[in-house]
Formats: sequence, C-alpha cells, structure tokens
Amino acid sequence: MTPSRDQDSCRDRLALQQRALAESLTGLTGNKTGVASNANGDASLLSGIDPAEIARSAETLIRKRIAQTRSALPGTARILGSDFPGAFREFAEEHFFHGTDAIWRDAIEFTRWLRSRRAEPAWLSDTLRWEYERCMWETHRYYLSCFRMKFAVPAWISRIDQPSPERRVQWILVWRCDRKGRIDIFSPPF
Amino acid sequence: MVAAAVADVVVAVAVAANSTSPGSMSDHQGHQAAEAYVSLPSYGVGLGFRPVHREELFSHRKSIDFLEIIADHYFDPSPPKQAELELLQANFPLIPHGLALSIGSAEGIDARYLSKFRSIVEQVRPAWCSDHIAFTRAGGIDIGHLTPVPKSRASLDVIRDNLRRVQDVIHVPIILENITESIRYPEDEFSDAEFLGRICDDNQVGLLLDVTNLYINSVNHRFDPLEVVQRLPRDRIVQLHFVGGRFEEGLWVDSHDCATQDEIWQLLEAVLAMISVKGIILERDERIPPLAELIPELDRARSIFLASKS
Ligand SMILES: [Fe+2]
Repeated sequence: MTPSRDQDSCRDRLALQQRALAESLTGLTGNKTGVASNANGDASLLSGIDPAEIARSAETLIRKRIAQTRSALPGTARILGSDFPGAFREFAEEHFFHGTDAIWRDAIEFTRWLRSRRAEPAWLSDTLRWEYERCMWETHRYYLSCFRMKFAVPAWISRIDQPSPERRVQWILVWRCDRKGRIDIFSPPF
Repeated sequence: MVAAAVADVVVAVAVAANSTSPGSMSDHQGHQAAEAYVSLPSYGVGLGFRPVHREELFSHRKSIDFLEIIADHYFDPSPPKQAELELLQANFPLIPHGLALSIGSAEGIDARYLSKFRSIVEQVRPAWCSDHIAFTRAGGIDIGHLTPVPKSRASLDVIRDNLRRVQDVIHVPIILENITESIRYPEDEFSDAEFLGRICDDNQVGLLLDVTNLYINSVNHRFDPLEVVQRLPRDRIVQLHFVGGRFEEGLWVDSHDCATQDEIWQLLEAVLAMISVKGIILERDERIPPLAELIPELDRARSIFLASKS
C-alpha cells in the first residue's frame, strides 16, 4: 500500500521534529554536523514539549558521556579528580562524535584537548599519552606507535594505593596487527 | 496457562481488527505472530553481560541461565572481542540487544548499522534479539541516547516501515523494549498500553518489558503500571529487564547503577503473576559491583520466576 500524502507530511514533520530534538539534546546545529538543517530555528517543532524535559535529557546525555570517558581514561580521571566533569563539559561544548565508536573518540579527542591546556602534575603528559595510545590501540585494526615516557604510568594506573608514578624513563611500543593467526602485542604488558 | 494464552491471542486479534493503520497484520498473521512468541525457548534468569565480569562468570555459572550481550560492542570486533564473543557463545545462550537500530527514526534505518547488527545475529543465531522503541538518530546526528517517540499514528507508521526493513534481513524474532519517557509530546494520541499494543498488532514483533522503566514512567507520569500490563498483548511479552533506579530532584531516573529497590521487586512479582515470560535479565550498567554482589538479585528473580511458572 502506498502512503497517502497526509502520511507523508506527518512523517516529514516527525523527521524535522526529531532533528530539532537531536540538535537540542546534543547542542549541535546543522552547521556543525555538516548537514543543512531545516529544523534549525523552527521553534514550532518543539513547542508543546516541556523545555525542562529537554534540558534534563541533554543533561543525562552529557553525564553519560562523562561516565563513559572517565572509565576509558582511568589515569586521567584520577589526576583530574573532581575537575574531570567540568573539564569534559568544556570540551563537549565544541566536540560531539557520531556512531558506535563515539565513546572512544570522546576519550581520544579529550586527551588531545587536555594536552594542549594542562601541564600539571608532571606525570599528566605521560598519562594522557599512554591513555591516548591505549584508546588508539583499542579502536584500530593496524596500529604502530613508539614513544618515550618519563614516568611509569601503566603500573601506577593499576595500583590505586600508589599516590604518584615512579620517575622512570622508558620506551613504549604499541603494536596491533589484527590479521588472523597473528598475536596482538601491546608492550610493555599492562 | 493454555487458556490464558488463547485469551491473549483473542485480545491481540481483536485490537488488530480495529486498527486503522494501513498494512497491519491480518487476523491469521496475528495468530501466527502470537504462536511464534509462545513457542520460544524458556531460558530463566540471566545477566546483561559486561566485560568486567568476564572472569567471574564461570564461578557463578549455575546462577546465570543466559546472557544478554550489547550487539554494538561486537560490531567489527577486534580479535580479543571476537574471542570474548566465542567464549560466551560456547558457554551460555546469548541474546543480542541493540542500542541504535533507531526503530523510531522517521528518516529510516541506517543500512550500515543494520548490516552490522545482522552479522552479530547470524553469528550468534539467538532465539530472539532486541532493541528499543526509540530513536537515536536524526538529521545526521547520532544522539548516543535512547529518545522517546510521540505515541502517535505517524510514529506507528514509521516503526512499521522500519521493522519491515529490519525483518527483511534479520530472520529471528525481534522484541522491542519500552524506554523511560523522558520527553512527552503534544502529538501523543495513545496511552502507553495502546501504543505498545498497536505496535504488536501492526507487526510481527514481541515486547521486552523493562519493569524498571515501567515503574519509573508510572511514578513520574502518575499511572497504574499494572493496568498497562493488563492491557498489553501478554503473549507477546517475551522478556523482562529489571535493575535499580534513582530518585533525583523529585523524579525517578533509569540510572541502572544500584541494587533493585523494593518497589521494583514488588512490581516484578506482580507482573510475573500476570504473564509468563521466557527470560528475565538484570541490566546493571553503572557502578558495576563484583558479580558476587549481583548473584543474590539473580537468585531472588529466579525464585519469583519459578513461582510464577508453578
Ligand atoms: Fe532495559
């Protein structure tokens, strides 16, 4: 059965309303998504919806991103402590990712973003690099990276009772090769 | 039990006959759909699998009848994820649970997502699979969060067309989950029960009744949750979810981060006194404790489940 013109127009309106909601919930507009938005600016599409409900849903979404990024970056979360949510919110004003790997992309880009903004404590830079590389390793089929760290960050992350990492210069090789039959190597072991 | 199932089929078919949606199922198809869900295997009580529990699963094997896996976590799997999936599959019945089919998206189903979902289903070959009555994608934006759709005829049309697209490529029964109604629309034309019932009437689809979401909606929006269950096509309710929620700033939220509260246990018990399901899943997502702390919840759910069967 072919849809009637009425059905088509109801569906078009629903599509625009969903788009307007998606933009409101994520803080994105057509400009940022790279897709022209007819919904942008048409207030009638969301009229009748309680603005408090939209605000609460947007807050739920950002809290979910914060929680997911925090668990992807345990060392960074430990260093930032109660500053983590505020820093992530600032980052999120300009960054939003799509798709099933959005959680990892939040984590990867957040480490990059922080690296250009914070320098303290001395082991922050190594922690950000280590966690960046770990996320890259998780999300790529083929990956190779080699870098030098001044602190033994991996051991510190796994030991909650150790207040700060040991100062120890070490070279790290991160290697992933996903061909069947080959072993994944991430060196040194966690 | 047989008498109750027959009565439910009659209810489902009667509503289908009154449905105004074009392309709804015929009475015969309604019977077929109902029978298809009644004949699914009965699994018991299981857990929403989270990787942090991978090692512990085997020391609690007897308390876990089946696992629900997040399908999205195994899309284009790395070798360790693939190995994890194979390990789980070798030891437990698995049910893939999707997060972003976006069955309520007015712009349709994302072909790439559907093809990845399909490959998980083909690999796992489950008795059924599930996703949500929600949209997660619109205008090129992946919201990353389940967002409600208006309970309207337009949404029913969208869900029907999207489901057909999905069912063209996925050939195991699909069940859809009720989410928390965080946004209400002026376009709503149906009550919760009518909307869920119509989705079942229009489509060969079952329901995954999230008891916690039902509880949260009933308190936040002041309705009787059991009246909703009473009015649903009960032979289509295949599976239940439950977990603790949180009461914050005057509203319940589906935080999935704490032990199940007494009110939710009571509702679970009352629901199971009314319907017979194939499986129940504890769905803990945040502040995940060691598995040993969740086992008493699984055991309690199992005793309610078994009592409801006797
Ligand atoms: Fe659920």
